[in-house]
Amino acid sequence: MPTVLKEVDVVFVGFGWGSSILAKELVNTSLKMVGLERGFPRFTSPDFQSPNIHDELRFAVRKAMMQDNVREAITLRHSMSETALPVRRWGAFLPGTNLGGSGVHWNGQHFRFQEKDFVLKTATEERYGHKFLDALGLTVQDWGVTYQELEPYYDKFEYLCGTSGKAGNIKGQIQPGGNPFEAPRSREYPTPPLKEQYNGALFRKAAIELGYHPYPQPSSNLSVAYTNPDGLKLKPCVYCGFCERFACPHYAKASPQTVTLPIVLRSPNFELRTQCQVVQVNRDSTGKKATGVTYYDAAGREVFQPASIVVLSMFPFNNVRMLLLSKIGKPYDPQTGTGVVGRNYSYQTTSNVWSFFDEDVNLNPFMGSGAVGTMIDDFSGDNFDHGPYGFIGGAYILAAWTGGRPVEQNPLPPGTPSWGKGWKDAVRKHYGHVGQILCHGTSMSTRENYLDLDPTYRDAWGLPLLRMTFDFPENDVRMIRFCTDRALEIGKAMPGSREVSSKIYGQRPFDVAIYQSTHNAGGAIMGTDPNTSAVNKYQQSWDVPNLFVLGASSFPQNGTYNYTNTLMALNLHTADAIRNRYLKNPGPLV
Amino acid sequence: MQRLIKATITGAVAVNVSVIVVAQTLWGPEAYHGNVGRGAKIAAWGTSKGVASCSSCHGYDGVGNGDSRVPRLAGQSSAYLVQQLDDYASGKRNNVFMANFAQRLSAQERADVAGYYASLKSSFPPPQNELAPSLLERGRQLANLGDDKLTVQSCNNCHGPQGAGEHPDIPALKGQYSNYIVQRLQQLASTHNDADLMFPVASALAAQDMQAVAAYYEQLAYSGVH
Repeated sequence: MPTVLKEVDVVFVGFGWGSSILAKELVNTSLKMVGLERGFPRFTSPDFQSPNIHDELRFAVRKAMMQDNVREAITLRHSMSETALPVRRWGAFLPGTNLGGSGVHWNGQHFRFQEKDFVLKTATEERYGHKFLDALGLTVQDWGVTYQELEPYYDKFEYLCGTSGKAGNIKGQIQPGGNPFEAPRSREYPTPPLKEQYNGALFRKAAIELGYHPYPQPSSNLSVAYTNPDGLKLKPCVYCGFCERFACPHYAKASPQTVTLPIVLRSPNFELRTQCQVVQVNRDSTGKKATGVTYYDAAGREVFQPASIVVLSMFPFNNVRMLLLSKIGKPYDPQTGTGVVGRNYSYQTTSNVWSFFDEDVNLNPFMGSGAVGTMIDDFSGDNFDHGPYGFIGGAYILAAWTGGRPVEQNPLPPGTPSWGKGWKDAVRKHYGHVGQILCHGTSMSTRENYLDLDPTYRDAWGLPLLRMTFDFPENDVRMIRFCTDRALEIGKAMPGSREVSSKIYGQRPFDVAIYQSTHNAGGAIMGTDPNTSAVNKYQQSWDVPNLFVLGASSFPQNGTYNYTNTLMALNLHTADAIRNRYLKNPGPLV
Repeated sequence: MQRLIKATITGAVAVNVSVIVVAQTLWGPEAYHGNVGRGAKIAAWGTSKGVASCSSCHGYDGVGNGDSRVPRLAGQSSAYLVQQLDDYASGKRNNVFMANFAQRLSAQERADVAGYYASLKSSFPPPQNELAPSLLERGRQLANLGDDKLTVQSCNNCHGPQGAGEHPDIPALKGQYSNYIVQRLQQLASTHNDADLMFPVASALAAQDMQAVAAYYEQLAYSGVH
């Protein structure tokens, strides 16, 4: 029998970016809140300080900040005819764990999605016609929420983070130096852009020569000291080059530890419990009301925490898995295309281009930062006419070195031996003289790509693992080939470039062993129709209205960009709806 | 043969550049485009243009004088020392005494004298006073771990293990006089420059925290306390 605790008003499952910002928004209500985190507590000081934090083997290679996939993995297969196998070593994507979740090891790449992303189906049909979209065999949907509705929340999150950037479009007025393709924003970024890397300066020259529109990547690793509207202080980035896969020692990266947790953890209405592994959302006999959650605490005891509101805000995989384990919402069936939980899993479609320079061109990649790029949006989303190409979507093209770590950030020309003297000689010759360009693009949903529970493999608590059935849709393969060709043209045009090479990750079969993107999306998607979505525009379960499922699991398909800003805007939108409407009148918000 | 090392100028001493500047330079104990022999002469005797000898305050051995808050120069990187002289000359670093000297040194002379002091090994006197263990412990904490309540990161993140300095740009703190470190922190806290890396750190430190961290670094080289 589980230990039954006293009821609280809100219980959060997973305590990373998503739940901590919702808790922060509710901190001035009288709600009693409990945050359940499966991992450990951790803070900038003492946990993220150097030299310990600058340990590439521990954090980047062995992935110390990621979900323990000995206890809890996912399984993968490329098609329904295959048998899925567990992914026991993270490669393509890196779901975080511990307090703050993936918000600790993110790169701070802080984009908004485009207006058309939220109405993708409608906008595509309007521009190219039904037939064009139907021929692509995709299951893209509108989100049920618009960019205009989310703009105030994008703005709010950017000002909480102190994001460094240059606006390209303020209320419809194009701004010099910014991204002319961006959706209109209500005001300038809170802080100016980071310094431009030499790699980026050469890319900028080439991009201008080719007629494109370079701009500085928006970054939540800050260019200057900043005090946010909550009075929290962030510090300037020192370009140490250890953002991705690491935590920031300098209070320079916006993260739960710098932006949300200091407010939440000092509230007497909030209690954090770590090392709590939630295994189920419990419901009453009607099945339409969540009564709380069941978890195992650090001592292995089974605990039931009753709550009036249950918030799932784990990595998208785990949100979907918790719904399936709790039998909430109809599981998606790819044969019939019906059901909602597990539907429309999407990813991110990426490639790399490298430009090799002579030894007298020093690009100094070690002076890096997580979002220090120079980039173009000329081929993002629907910024160009897709009519001739037979695909939808696009990719941004970005020149950046997030760091110059010796083990992993060390690209060499094609044909270089992978070990021994030949490899060593090549490292000596090329280190610091390689330009890096990334294509980072949309991922469309299809009928065949989905998530469900694995019939064979189980976690350390005896529960089925989540099974991913995924391969890149033909649409996305075409898209990334097209965009990579554009990136290669820019790479060749960078002054002093001698040789270029490329690696397209967005090709079949999907390679789960090589890092691509941690922007896994969908599976509990939002929409306007309960038959094709699991949650409404407020990320509220259609079936269980006191259950909210936050995060990128809500995305019907993935946009061009790194998605943190968008999921946080959705969460702030949800927070407003809960605070202003739900608390007064609990029940369906739509 | 001296090895050519491609080093960079960034961080605290070059926050105003819009593109990260690349310098190919000699650094560390060797000269920074400077001539150690000529630098030694300037240090000992000053210049014919009326610049007083550096040694009259900083010592020919570069050990300085803690009692009068004259910093130890011996063993700092030549790149760092040149940058300070340049900043004194331009007024970016405000000090009337040093501005007067720096402005009358040519760029080459600044490099020479920086190279000389960078080439020296320091000796470390014992601390002036018996230091309270609680003060040292607070200093050790700030230096190694920072303080989450103040949102202050560890000094060693940038200044290197035990504050040994991160060549070429970031000065050594180990063994530096606490009087000088406190004075410098007070100056940095008063710049109100959000783009300066040290402003938000220094301005978050209360007077007793400045004392603690300064005292910790001063005694570190002498006593070997880690």
